Amino acid sequence: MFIQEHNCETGEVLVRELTAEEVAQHEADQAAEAARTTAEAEAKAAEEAAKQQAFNDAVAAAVAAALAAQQTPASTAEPTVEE
Amino acid sequence: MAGILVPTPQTGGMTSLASGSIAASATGFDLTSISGDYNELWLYITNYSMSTSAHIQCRINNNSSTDYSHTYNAWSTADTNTQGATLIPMANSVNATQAGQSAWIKFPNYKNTTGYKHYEWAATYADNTMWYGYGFNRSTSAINRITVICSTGNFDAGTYQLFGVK
Repeated sequence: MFIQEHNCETGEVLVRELTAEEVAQHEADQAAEAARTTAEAEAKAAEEAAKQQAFNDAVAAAVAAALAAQQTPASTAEPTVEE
Repeated sequence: MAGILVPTPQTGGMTSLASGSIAASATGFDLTSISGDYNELWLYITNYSMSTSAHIQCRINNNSSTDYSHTYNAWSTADTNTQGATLIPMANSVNATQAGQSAWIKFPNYKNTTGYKHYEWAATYADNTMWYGYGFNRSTSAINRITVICSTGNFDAGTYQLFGVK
């Protein structure tokens, strides 16, 4: 693996191989990045599941309210006429 | 009758500290010996792509300790808050078929030696998404080095330009 080094003071640019220490760091970065990506995907899935659940709950509540309204007996009182 | 208020011209400006093309074989680029003569650093990475599906990442002063804390938003997802990261995740997978990607990151007050170092970035991600984030590094050292790397593989195109802003 190579990295491009640019010395901003001298303007010198060189492409060199990563040192053993840098390679080890790169491998550690890869592992950490994989963990981050997995955690991010899980968080996104949980967020989507929560949204879906909230939607389902709202629909269920609306249906229950509509059914309850239908089952409420209509008033049987005779209309009154006011003089 | 009051006179016309003329805004005071701003002083300073942007000075290019380094620029170039990213070597196609390089897993990243490392900007070293950055001058401490400015108030902010802005780094533009333009028209880049990667050899394989990889993430673009950034590190300051070669600091790989768990000193980075940030919030970022990857488009339509909720904000992600990370404490104790070892680098700055600028954007997720971009590969060679997704050429023309771009990113920028800036570091205000980067030269101070008494406080933590803030950063803010934005990056395109694939063809129709972007990342945006901000955070800080728990280091009181002035920033004199910025490294940008692929999580895997290497860049196969792109340019960079580092500006010092007064």
